[in-house]
Amino acid sequence: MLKYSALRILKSLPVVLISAFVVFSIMLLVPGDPALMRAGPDATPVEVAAVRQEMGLDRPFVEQFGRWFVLAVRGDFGKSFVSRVPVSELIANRLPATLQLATLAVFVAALAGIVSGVFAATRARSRADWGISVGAAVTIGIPDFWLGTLGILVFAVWLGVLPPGGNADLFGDPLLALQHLALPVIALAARPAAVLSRFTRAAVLDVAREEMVWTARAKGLPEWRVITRHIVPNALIPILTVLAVQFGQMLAAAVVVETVFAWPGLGSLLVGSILGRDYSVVQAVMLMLVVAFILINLIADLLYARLDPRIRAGLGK
Amino acid sequence: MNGIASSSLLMIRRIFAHPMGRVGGSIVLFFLVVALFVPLLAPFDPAFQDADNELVPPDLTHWLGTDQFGRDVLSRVLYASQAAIIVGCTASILGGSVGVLVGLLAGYFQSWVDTLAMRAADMILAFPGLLVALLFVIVLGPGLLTVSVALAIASTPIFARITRASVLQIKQREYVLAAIQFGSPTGWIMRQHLLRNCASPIIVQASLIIGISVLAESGLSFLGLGIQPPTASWGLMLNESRGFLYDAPWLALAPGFALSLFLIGLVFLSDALRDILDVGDLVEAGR
Amino acid sequence: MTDIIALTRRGLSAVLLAALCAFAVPAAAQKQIDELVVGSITDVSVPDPNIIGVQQFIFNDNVFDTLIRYSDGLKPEPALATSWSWNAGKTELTMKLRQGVKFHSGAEFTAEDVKFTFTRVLDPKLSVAQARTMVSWVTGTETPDKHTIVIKFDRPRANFIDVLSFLYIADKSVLTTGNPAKDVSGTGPYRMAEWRPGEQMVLEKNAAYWAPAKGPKRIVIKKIGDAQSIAGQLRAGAIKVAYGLTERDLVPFSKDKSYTLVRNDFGPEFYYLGINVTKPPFTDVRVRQAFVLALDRNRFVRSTLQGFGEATASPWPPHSPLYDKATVGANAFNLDKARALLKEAGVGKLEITMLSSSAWPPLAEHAQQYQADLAKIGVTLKINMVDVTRWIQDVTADHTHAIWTGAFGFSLYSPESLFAMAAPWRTQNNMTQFENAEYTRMANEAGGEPDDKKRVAILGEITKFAQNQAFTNPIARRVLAMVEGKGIKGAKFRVTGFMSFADVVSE
Repeated sequence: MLKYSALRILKSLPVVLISAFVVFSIMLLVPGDPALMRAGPDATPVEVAAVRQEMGLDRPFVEQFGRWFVLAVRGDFGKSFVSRVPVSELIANRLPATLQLATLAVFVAALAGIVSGVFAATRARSRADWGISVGAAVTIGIPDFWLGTLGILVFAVWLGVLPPGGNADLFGDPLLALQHLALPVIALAARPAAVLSRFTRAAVLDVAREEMVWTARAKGLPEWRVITRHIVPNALIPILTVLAVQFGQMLAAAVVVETVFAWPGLGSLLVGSILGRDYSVVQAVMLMLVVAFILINLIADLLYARLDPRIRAGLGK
Repeated sequence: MNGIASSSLLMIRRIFAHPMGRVGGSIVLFFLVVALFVPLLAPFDPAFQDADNELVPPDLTHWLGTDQFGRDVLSRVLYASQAAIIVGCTASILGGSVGVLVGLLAGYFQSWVDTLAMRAADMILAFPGLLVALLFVIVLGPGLLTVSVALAIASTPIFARITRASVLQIKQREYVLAAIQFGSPTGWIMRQHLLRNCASPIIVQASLIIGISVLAESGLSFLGLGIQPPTASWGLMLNESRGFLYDAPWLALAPGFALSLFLIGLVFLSDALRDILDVGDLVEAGR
Repeated sequence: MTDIIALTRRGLSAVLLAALCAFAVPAAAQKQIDELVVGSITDVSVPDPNIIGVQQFIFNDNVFDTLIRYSDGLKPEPALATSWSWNAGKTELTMKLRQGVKFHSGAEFTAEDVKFTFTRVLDPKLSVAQARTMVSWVTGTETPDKHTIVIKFDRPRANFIDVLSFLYIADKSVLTTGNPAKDVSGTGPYRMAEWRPGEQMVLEKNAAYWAPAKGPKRIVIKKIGDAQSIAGQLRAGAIKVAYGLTERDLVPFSKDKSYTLVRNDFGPEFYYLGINVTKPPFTDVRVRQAFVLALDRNRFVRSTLQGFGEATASPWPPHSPLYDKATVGANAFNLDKARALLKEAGVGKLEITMLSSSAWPPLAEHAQQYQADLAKIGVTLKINMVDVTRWIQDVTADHTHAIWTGAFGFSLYSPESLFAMAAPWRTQNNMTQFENAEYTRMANEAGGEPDDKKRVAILGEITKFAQNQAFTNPIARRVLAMVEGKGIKGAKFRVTGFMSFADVVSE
């Protein structure tokens, strides 16, 4: 297991490096010149060239990448092409909002997904099970940004009980902050919750077929104790694996959901920077998202390996 | 050819015999028919702007109202099914063909081909699908073609991985080993034994990819980075509707409902396919 | 008698009461606000006094000062300069500067800061090309004392005063070496306390401000990147001033008595259709004219701008001496005529890609309206909506698009300033690649003409000439607007488009 983990971690390092290279180079392939944005519409070519030099855009590509990556590892992503503020500062400003949103969404997704999944499994083939299954399938089909838009329409526009967007200080005014969080969290959590619910149901049913569960029942343990003591703990690792994968997907989904709710997080920073051609910010946020995604998948894989001895064994070949 | 036709027919029959398949199949079939015959079905030209009838609420002439340009929303919602189906099919057919080929070669020859292909696949899978598409759109500019190709590329490694895994399994079977032993041509073995036997997970994956791609397309279009006007796309319509939630909510409701319905149909259909073809393990949910 | 006295007394007390009320109400009503939260669609690109652009409108005037300000009647009024005078030939401007003014850094404001600002603007690393053109006319400055500056020009430059209305004075002591994003120091009514780019900016009242100001103690300018959310937050009371609403969102607020709509009607932003005259088939002036005739300006203003603007084919705002109904209504929407012109020019089916930018949301709608109208005269229009950088790169350098829509300003000042500052109107290096000896001659003649009437006559000729040549074609003048929430008043626009919150009070 240790060997597998070490190898798996080592293997993801080049992936990080290459991803960084891809993120960096793609930004330079983009048509358009960030120097021009700073120079403005009425500038002459000479003036633009001066700006370009100041921004370091005239240096060789590999040199630019090398410098960028070394600094990026230290958390220095340079300055925003637009605002001239350190990118790390921009990210630090936006990260808390995204973390609040994502953590709460993961929590909600896990709670809703696992509870409904276990519930459906314990009543397999009942009306409730059928309802949850269909509900989950339907939820998977509803795009998060439409769910968000619907939420705004119903709760902000029609009922006027929740704000249509933006955020509030979670520590300064928790109640207001939660009101702002409600719709984005639901929009973001719905799909992962549905995926998780389906998976949990399957995993629980799998475990329930195992011998030890029968043994536990034979010992005369009450059913709820069989579920909480034997079935759920055993089904938990595969469930956590799926949850981790869903968390990774959530990072990408947040880009769209944050835009729906004008949520001042990394996602809306990314979209805004793409539209504004703020290369240094796009690169940094993309890299952060990708590294987070790789990290989460790594954890998921390690969890999965912990569960499935075949993988560990297969590696020895 | 006859064989394929009769087996597809059998497949369709089995889908419609499955309770979820019946619902999903009908929905998807409905949208396919709409996309094919939309010129006959749509009451108006989707691009026609009636400057005197902007933002008209749903009525008898415009069943789903008109948008800020005086265009008929129903017609646009119907036409948008074309864009969705084009993107979904391109991504799954193009991504599928390349991915299956790569997976087949990697699984069969293993060695450096395998290593290279799988590392490349790891690379692409290191990015969430939406971000891959986003990167491509940033470089190539938005549009139906770019988005389709970007999503095809994003889905290629998944097909490659699944095919490779199936090939590795099937290769160990006796009849394949025997065929290799007797010196049957490689191409023949691949076609006859390998490809045929890993069709099931590929079909299920393809149906999943259609849904994922349609979702990604609408997400990109919603951000303004996908399909460009005046082409009708559900995501784009939702994007354009955002300024009108107070005055014209039907602009957001109609395309969102159509998009969700189509996606739900695809989810039901792929669930049914998974059941019918019995490929629970290989095609992982959510990946 | 007593009755009369009683009556009188009663009457008197009633009058007194009324008088008291009249005084008491405003006194009680005009309360200083502790914290004013402003919602804006954009954040500043950088809190630099010398960066000019629509995204800076919400900021500069609150932290920095100009030497002069234009009144709403477009008369120059004292700001950091208390008085000024021209020599007889209008080649030398002597300005007396306000004494005892301090920058937020603590440094004293002197003529050196004005000189420094001029040099700074000329530095090509700063993106203030518009101001630079006019500042480059300055051939020398003299500072006989700390609070006097004499500015000398290459030739008569009476309209130089225009640039002083949006040239914010930088703090030499700080910016000689400092970072404009961090070391923000002005003489304005507010100092910058915090800036989180793309998120919010906190301004704190400058206790040592040189003019009386009863404005809020703190101003928080929040960037809310979505017009829908801005409207929602204004309704919910989370923000008190909203800037960046779409015109369609402005309508309900303008009808609701509890909100106040603050407008700038001077025309700092004109939308236009640019045509590159070197790209076939647009080398033929008839094709250009046909494309202009296919512009349905009235629909755009009625529907997209919801009346917050004016459909116009002229670059001049209503207060301009050049404003007249004939040029405003010239080349009106006429598809038949457009079709005929295309036919005359021998142009059959045509496919053209038009460039526009998401930086101007109304133009995104316009593009789709134009697309539908052009389709009726056999032109397939493809729309390339890009971010503003790509847009700038394309129209100024790459020239890959034959037609585009965008915005210009600078016609609200002395008319001849337009031809010096706005890229689509310049006589040289014009974005449309339009170069014409006649056009240049007339523009120069107008610039050097001291007689107001004659100058206006020449400029009128230029306007008509440009309309016929159809290279830069105004579509509409847009009204800038912001909305004040319940119980708030005093937010205002400068003529230039910059916003001031220094006099906002609660009612």
